Amino acid sequence: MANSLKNNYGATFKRSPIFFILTRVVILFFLIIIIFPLLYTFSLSVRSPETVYSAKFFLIPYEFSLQNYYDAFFYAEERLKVSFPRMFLNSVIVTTSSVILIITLSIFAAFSFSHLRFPMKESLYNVMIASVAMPAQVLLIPLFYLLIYFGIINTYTAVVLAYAGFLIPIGILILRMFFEQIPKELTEAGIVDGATDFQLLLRILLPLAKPAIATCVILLFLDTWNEFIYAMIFMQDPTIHTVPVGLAKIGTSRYHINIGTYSASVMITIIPVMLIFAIFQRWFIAGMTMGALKH
Amino acid sequence: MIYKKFQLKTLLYLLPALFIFLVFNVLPGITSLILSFFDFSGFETSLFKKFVGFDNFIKIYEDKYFWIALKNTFLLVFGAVFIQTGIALMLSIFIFFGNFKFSVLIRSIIFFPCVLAPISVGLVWKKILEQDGVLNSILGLDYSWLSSISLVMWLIIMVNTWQWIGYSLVIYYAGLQSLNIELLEASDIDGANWSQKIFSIVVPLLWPTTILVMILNLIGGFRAFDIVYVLTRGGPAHYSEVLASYLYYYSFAAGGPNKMGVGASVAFVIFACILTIAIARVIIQKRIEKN
Amino acid sequence: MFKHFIKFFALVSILFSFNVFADGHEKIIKVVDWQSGVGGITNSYADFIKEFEAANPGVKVEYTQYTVSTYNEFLKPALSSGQGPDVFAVYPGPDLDEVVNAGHLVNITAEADDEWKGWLGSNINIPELSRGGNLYLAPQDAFTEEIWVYNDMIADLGFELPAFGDSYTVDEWVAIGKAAKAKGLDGLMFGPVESWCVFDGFANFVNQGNPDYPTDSLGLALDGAISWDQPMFRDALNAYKTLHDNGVWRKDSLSMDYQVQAWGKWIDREGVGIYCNGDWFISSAPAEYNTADSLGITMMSYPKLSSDSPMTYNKATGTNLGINANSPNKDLAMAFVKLTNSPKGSETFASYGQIPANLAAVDMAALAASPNLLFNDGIKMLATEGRNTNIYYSQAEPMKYLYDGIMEMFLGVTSVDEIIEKMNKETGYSG
Repeated sequence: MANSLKNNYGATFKRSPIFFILTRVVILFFLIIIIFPLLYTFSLSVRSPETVYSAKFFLIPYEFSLQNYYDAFFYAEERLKVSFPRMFLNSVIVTTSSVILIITLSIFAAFSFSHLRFPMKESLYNVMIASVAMPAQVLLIPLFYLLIYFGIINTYTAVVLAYAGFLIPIGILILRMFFEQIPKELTEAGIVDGATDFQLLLRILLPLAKPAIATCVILLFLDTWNEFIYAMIFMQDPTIHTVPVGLAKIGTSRYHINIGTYSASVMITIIPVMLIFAIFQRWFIAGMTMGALKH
Repeated sequence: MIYKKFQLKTLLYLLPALFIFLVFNVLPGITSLILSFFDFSGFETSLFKKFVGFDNFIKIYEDKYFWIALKNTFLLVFGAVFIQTGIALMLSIFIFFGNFKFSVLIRSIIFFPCVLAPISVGLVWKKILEQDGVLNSILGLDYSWLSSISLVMWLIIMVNTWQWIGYSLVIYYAGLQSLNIELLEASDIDGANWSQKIFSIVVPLLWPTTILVMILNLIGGFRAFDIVYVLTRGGPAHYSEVLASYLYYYSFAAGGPNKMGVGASVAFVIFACILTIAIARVIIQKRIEKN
Repeated sequence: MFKHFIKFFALVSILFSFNVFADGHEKIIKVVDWQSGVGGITNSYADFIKEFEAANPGVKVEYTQYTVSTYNEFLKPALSSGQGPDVFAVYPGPDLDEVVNAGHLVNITAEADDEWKGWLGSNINIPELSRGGNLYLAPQDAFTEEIWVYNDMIADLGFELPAFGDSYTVDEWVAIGKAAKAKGLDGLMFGPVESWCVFDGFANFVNQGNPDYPTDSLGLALDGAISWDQPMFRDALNAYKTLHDNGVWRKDSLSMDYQVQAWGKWIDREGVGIYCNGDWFISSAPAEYNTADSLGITMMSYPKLSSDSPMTYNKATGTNLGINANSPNKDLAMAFVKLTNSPKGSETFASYGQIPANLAAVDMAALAASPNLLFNDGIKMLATEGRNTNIYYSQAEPMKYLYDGIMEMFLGVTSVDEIIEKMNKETGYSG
């Protein structure tokens, strides 16, 4: 029951003007550094293609125009052979499938770690923890040939399974910790009432675990939506490209591309995320914080 | 633990996840380790045709760009661990104690880049850092930032930090919110000024959070591939390669060596590094618990 | 519990059902290459496909273009898994060795009919596309590789254009570079991130100073048969050093690839000339500079080491298609490639601004009178007498060391002597 600093944190430092100025200056500096690149890219994207290199104070365009966005959409359709809306759909399909698959399997597996007993439990757990630190490229080539061998290369399934292999350990990590923190009395009460282990999981643990599941969903959503290298290599068929892959191809493409179009493509991928973030801010931050603290 | 004894049906819960983990994570990992002892260009129909023993390892041992990539990887990781942690610590303390009216908004803004795809971040910064990009316009210079051997890795560290600083920041902030205020009030009575309070009380109290943040940044630093790929592709002349991108170069690059076996041996090195760090972590943790 | 699993699997199956690919009853021939971005190739193939599908009802041709840098990411796993395309391009050089050794390509010399051989003419013996005396890749388009400059920009800087077939010397380029910089431009746009840009220019310099021409001294040196410590190699390296150190191209070039950045910036007129451009880009050249009454673009060969160096040209083939030896539709695939080598095929290439490789059955003079000025110049350049430089070599490791060495020389980290020493060591030259 320690008095947390939550409510009167400012009080102890009110009296120092140096501190006040220092904090304002530093925070302002960092805010500018964070905001400027994004604002600059946005500004580039709304300039007319002809005047794209000139602007007042680097940010204010001489001529506003949405031409770059049209060009970006056209470019994707014509050159990449896949339109932006289609890419978003592909990303949604991949992300949703992955998240559902991973969460479901992680819940069951985490339950077995936290409440059941089986041989080599901790060793397996340690292997899973170690695998979290591995960069994805290490597995890239063998996974590639493995997926070809299974005959699922160039399909959504390939990428979903690859993500699952990679992210299930994280799901298990977070959920196990949360399950283990649920008070024993509740589960014991359930056993006394004659519940089977499955009912225990479903009726008692899961409802209580909602915050942890929300955390997982957010982490998994971000990891799979933004993932680029597996998506690029395992799904080379243009019609199933996801958003990061399409963006990578535009940004490093062979056709000469106007910097305005380039910026517009980047903005197209940023703006939806920005809107979702603005709405669900607290969830995002809380989710990622919780995930980390529970380590 | 609900059931004292082990029942077969326990495995039913575990197996689906375990199956996918083994097949799509462990199996490729083991394959990669084995592949590092073979010569495979990527075109042959069978991966394990040409056994070459330790040749691949000798090759990377003698390859000066491998050592550059190794050095860069550690540079990136330690940059992430120390610089990112340090800046996040400072920012979180400033925001927390600075009595900002819009502290939630400020934290959200700084956090925002974390939800972007690293590739978008790379593309945004690439345009800014080009020789005829806006950075040079603002500074009035004509410097080729991304072609400078001495600076390029620091730029990558900076961009990586730019993206992930918010993540460390919110974790620190949560840590600050659960601190005990009595110690600070006590120091008020002793007449401490703000810098003493921060350095002698707050920072030490945040030590567990700091460790957590450092570990997360360590993992993040190892994983940073997308940013290198987009900003410099490992250039100029391989001076900004990290182990992950060098692996990619050996395996896939156009006009590159086409030696996936060597790429696998680079992967082997990455495995070894992570294993070492993981073991070190366990040892340190055991030692802390002993005390 | 059971019904929960049912629901789960139903949901998953629905999501995965997006994967269902409609399987037609038609035969599909898959053709791939790495010419993404080259309009002339794209349009020519569109015509070929139309013609082929009309002549073979029930057959569809799927043609996909990748970029140079992503092509191998696709091709390698496709071939090694046995699911390779029916027709695919291969880079001449080390890649070809590996693909042939792995048994993926049809031996054209053995299996082509006489009509096809007639169309190929002497191309059936092109060394860069053959192994063991047999042709494995069918040439499509040919090109000369050189420097292109904007006529008006050169004139603006106060320089006269050399005669057709001639080129500026290294020193002249240094002067042009300085003049250009004074006006905020670059002398040359250069994309050394793509290794061929560096290597092809190097081969040209070497060939100029090659005392034993037409012996392939560079090939011998890469094999370790002759020493690298000779004037022809030193001069080549020093020429590059001079050009770079004097800022003929911008320092940022070291991070620039050719296709996107160097070419893109040249199109934006940020530089007077573009280094290592080839006629394959004729179809992508800005149209407004390619008309009779326009200011024009001039093609000139790589810089001469000195004003009395022999004229040396890089001439080679571009896209080269091979047929998958394990394709279930091998005969159809071969028929398609044969179509591209026909005289009509050559005319199609020409009509879209690509210089065809197979000119045995084609009237060159008629071709060189098209409305596309650059195209005409390209044909003329191809026919100009001079030293011919080979640019496709298979010695992967030495080429890698050479490229790395030159890049480090540009970065100021290594010297010409060190490069020569290293090349002798790595090629195993003894004595």
